[in-house]
Amino acid sequence: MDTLTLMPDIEALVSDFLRDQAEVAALVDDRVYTVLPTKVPGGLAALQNFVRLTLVPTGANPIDAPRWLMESRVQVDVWAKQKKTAKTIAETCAAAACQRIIGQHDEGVVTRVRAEGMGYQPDPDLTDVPTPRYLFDLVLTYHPTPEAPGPTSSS
Amino acid sequence: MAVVHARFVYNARFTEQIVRTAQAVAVLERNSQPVIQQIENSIPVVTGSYKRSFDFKLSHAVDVAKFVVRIIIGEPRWHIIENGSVHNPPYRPLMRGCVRAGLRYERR
Repeated sequence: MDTLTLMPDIEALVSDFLRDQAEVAALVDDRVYTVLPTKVPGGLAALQNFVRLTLVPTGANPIDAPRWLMESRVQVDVWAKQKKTAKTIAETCAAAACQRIIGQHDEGVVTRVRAEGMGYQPDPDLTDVPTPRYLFDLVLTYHPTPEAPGPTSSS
Repeated sequence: MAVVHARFVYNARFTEQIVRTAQAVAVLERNSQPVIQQIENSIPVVTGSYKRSFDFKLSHAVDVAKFVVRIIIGEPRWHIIENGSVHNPPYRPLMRGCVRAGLRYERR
């Protein structure tokens, strides 16, 4: 049978990409998550700052019939102790993505990207006092790596 | 076949005049209900304390001057449902409702 080609895990692709950016790493080290850690000494509130990527539940929309080219919306949340720090990290992530993410990655190929709706929205759930948080959306168009073998099913 | 001479008079305010007619406003009124319905259908909370404590009732108001419909959300904590928090994913009922209603969603 033909080899199945799976769509890239876009959350993993973006998180790997952001962790690889020197400017982002300088601000948050490797604290770019798709699932927030549960075993942090002192809890998440003890972290200076961190970034979470979430695939927005409208899901991925196939642009073409054979399910090759997809568009997904990923929400980027940036929490920090200070509002200005959160803004700086969010702007750095947006700039890195918009200027560098197009191209080949381990997970797949990004062909188009745009950042939407940068906004400040303090999070009331992290501590007793709303924590500074900036958030924005990355809307990405992507496809699998050509000729990249996915899991095969035996015939 | 008859040829009728008609003098073209440019009216820069034509669109503005059209959209302020009662028929145009009625179209906005009529088309806003399905959007509100789809947004309400996209609210993920169906049971539990959120359902009891949140006010998920939406309303709308037509702004004739700008020819827009404003969807009014009375719940001040809606952002937790829409954009999530450290303990919640972004459920995006507003966005999903708009998309389900056939509108193009733009986040600004």
